[in-house]
Amino acid sequence: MIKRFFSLIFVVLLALVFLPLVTEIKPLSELGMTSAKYAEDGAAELGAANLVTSVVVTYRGLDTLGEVTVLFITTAGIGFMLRRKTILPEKKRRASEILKSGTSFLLPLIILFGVYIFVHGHLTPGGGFQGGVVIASAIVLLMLSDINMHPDHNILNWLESLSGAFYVIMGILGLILAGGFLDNRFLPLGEFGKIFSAGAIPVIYSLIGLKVGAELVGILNKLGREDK
Amino acid sequence: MNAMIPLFVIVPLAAAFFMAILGRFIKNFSKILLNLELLFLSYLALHFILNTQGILAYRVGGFENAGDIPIAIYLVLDGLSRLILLVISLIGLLAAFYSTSYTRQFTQERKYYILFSLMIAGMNGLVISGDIFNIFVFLEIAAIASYALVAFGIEKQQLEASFKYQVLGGMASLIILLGIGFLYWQTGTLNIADFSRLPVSGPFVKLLAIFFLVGFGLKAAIFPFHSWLPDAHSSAPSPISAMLSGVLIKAIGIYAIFRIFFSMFALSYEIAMVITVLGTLSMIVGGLMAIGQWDIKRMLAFSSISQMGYVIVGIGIGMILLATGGSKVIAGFSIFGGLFHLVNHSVFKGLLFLNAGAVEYATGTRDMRQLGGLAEKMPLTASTSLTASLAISGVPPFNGFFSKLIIIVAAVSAHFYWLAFIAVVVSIITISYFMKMQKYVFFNTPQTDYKNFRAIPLPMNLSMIILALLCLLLSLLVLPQIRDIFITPAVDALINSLQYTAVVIG
Repeated sequence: MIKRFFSLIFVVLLALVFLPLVTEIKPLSELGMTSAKYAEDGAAELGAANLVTSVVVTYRGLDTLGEVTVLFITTAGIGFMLRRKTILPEKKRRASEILKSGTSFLLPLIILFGVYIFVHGHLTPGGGFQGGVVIASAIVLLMLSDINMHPDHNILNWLESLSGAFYVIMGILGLILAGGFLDNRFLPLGEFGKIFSAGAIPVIYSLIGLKVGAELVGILNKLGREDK
Repeated sequence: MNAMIPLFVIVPLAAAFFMAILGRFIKNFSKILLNLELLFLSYLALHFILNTQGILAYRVGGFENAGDIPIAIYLVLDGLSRLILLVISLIGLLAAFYSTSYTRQFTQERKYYILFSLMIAGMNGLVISGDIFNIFVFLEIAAIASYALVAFGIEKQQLEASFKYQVLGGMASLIILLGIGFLYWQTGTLNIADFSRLPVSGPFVKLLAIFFLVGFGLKAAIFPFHSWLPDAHSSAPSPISAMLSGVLIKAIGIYAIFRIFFSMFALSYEIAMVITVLGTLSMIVGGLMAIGQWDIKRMLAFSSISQMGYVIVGIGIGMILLATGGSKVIAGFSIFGGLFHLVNHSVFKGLLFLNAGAVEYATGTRDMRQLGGLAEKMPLTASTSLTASLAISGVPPFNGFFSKLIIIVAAVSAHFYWLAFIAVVVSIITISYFMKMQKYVFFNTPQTDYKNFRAIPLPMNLSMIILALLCLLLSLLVLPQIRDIFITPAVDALINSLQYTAVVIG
């Protein structure tokens, strides 16, 4: 009880420290200098209609490569931490007819939508991370509707490591053929707003999409089994 | 030349992905690749130290500055980062070579090497990055890889240690991220050099300083943020303990703290004082806690907290002198002592953990009360361990003696007499608990007859011998000719921190 009381006091004091930061917040009337540069020259320089994508994949590409790696480590970590003998629950409840027929109808659409999101990452909102998550959700739906279905984790491992390796290779190609590591301009920028444009961005986003999709499916697959 | 800088990140990252692809088909592929990778990185770091001078900057993606606003993420190589890169690669190489026989006991060897390689990528990235958010990303890579590696044995105790480490590490990352968020909100820049020339001051800067000090202090396990370290560093596989204690807390903790407080913020007396006081307390608390331990690796982990205290105190005194306009010569001398001790500590603490790993490998236990008399059965491990113990306790002619002496002399000449006195006392405490370890593990009468005794394979022995030789050879760093090549550039980088901004932006 006393402990909780002190925690409460601590939280209140912390809130008092942060209060001025929240109350005195002033909305920015103009973009910061770095953001202004992104907004003004980003489209012309990199050829991507989606400005966010050009920042995420190219201007701050090294951060994105890092984040993708963090996800890779997380999957690997979960993989071996849960590698103790896992036994599937004995009582399996079959999925309902509605779920089954719904899945067979929706599955191709969801996958198609996911692919659309990451392939069009340089044109419309979305990108590799979001597209990958959508694809993973399709696989999860499949796992729910068919209790015996388990994605082959060899294939998943393959997909994630291959797309990771190719992401790094794309970066190195930028280093050799264009301005520097992770420069997207070693492929032609193409016509602004078309699907084949913005240099290597669509390629990188497709790789990220595959990688994120495979990793999320892998994590959910591992977590879905019960430990006995 | 500058185009080679990103290789420090690309090589370990690419190697890790290739291990994941090809390691499945080719036996021992991951082992060999990791060793080759670290050999190459050591060569690269040495090459940069010997053949280049000053501050080198590389823009990722090659985007030019808009006016004087940096657009691309900067990778910056100065004297300090060169030195830390060499330490990471060299200790990493020896730990990786040691691992080649040590990891036979694990079922998923390949994953071990992948995570090892990614941890290297994270540390290297953090050390060369000149952008605070990029530093955060690489910090996460190194930290998350180390959470996984701590739990690698997946015994109950290891999972618990890893969980504790993850919770506290996650809190640290959150605090750092919060700080970065505030920083970007207020200034619109993430570039360290760009930030350092902005005219910001007042409570905002103090808040940021507190966030970063607490966040990176947790990663560096400075008192009072040290509680996760003894569990995590003692539960990990021994070569990983050597990496964590020898390199990781220095690269993602100490290095980051000093990079931020020297290159990013203007030096302030208050922060310098806080850092020095925390360093002193770490020195004392770590030392006192180490005395009562019976688990070899746990004792070594507490000793790491204590020894990192010396490093922080050395550089902290320099910071105080620079902030108050004191003598630059003494400040430089003191920082030299701190960095010298950092290098030395990574060598002897790495070696001590490898010794502990060898003892555990041979006998199956690391409880001092169940060991004894191993000097006859494992002469090589015993002699290298004695070397490292003498070095860490500061006995001449080993490297630890010189670095501690320099720190103490610097403290005296800066008129911090109490600090010098405490450093001497902690040094005596250090020698006492290491002699206790030597007595119980290697010299006492054996407590058992060692039924399942296993001989130590050659790669493990070789790594230990090389590190023991380094304990002796690094003493040569006090000679001006050698010091000027390796450590003086790093000291200069910290003293003339204004140059950082000038070169990167200019």
